[in-house]
Amino acid sequence: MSMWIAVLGVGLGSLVLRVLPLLVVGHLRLTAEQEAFLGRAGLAAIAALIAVSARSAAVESSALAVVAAVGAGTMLAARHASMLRIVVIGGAVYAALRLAVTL
Amino acid sequence: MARVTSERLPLSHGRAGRIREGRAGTIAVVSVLIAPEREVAHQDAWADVRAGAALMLPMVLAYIPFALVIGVVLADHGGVLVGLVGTWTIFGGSAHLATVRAADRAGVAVAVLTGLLINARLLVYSAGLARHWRDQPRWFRFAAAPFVIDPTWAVGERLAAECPDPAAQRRRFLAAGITLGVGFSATVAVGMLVGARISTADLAIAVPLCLLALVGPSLRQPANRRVVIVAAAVGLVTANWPAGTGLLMATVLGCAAGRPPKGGSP
Repeated sequence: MSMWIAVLGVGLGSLVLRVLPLLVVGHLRLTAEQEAFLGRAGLAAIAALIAVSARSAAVESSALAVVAAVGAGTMLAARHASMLRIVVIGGAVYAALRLAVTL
Repeated sequence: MARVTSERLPLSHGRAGRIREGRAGTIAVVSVLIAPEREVAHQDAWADVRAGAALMLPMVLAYIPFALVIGVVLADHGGVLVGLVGTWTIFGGSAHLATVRAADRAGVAVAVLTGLLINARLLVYSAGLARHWRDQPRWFRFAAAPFVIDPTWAVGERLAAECPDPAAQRRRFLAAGITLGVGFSATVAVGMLVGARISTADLAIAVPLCLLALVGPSLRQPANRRVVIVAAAVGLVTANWPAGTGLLMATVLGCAAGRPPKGGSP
């Protein structure tokens, strides 16, 4: 029961977090600087999430393999590679290094 | 559409008009002209839906390992039904994982707070999309809101830049969101069924790799590079902070780093 309450509570709260800005920000007159800030905020949030998830993956497996895979993924992303390509090539780098470390 | 048709057929003007053919004739001619236009509009709508789904499909495939990880963890925490309901209501893998883990370890209140702090970034995604959706109808903003998450934010920003037609933007965004939801929850369900046979430790690498693809197109601008570098560095340093607070700090400092220097170019 507590799991249901937690999941539904976070779901409802998340919906509010999603809906409110869509309804409110659209009616506000923002300065160019505020608009630019909002444009950068999504980028910053995803960058932070990348760092946290990479750190978590490194703790659970091999730090060397994670750093190499994320490095390869960053280079591909900078060249506008598709997500699928980044995951496949980054995953292959990770798998190769994990194998090498294990052997 | 009707207005365009009446411009082609001057119904109320002198000899050139078809008003002399009588009402029935007028309606027949108008409907003959409207029908193909409706058909074209209908085809355009489906083309938009397909385009939206196609935008999201590679992301859904790339998210498969992440969704499997979530499915495996959810199978151990709470059960299948609550897990699947959570994929649609929370609609965010990281927050979902943290919520179910915290609910088992620390109770409901901590779990809800943890999940909401991790999902606090949705505020900035929605606020960012709201800039582009000022002229969109209210129903769309309500319908689109549940789908706002990292990949759909990226799709929304891309559509705003590349697709000037608001109706086409709506169709493409909703199609992309539904494609992500269906694909992600189906893969989570597979992860729940397969369970412990999958090593989640090795699949976790898929998460940062998927997210990298979302920031990739922005890295050409120096200001955006500063944002990414600072936010990632702060994210690493604050990784041990209470759930979600480090992400918020990293987001704020990353945004500040992207501000152009006074009097300088961005």
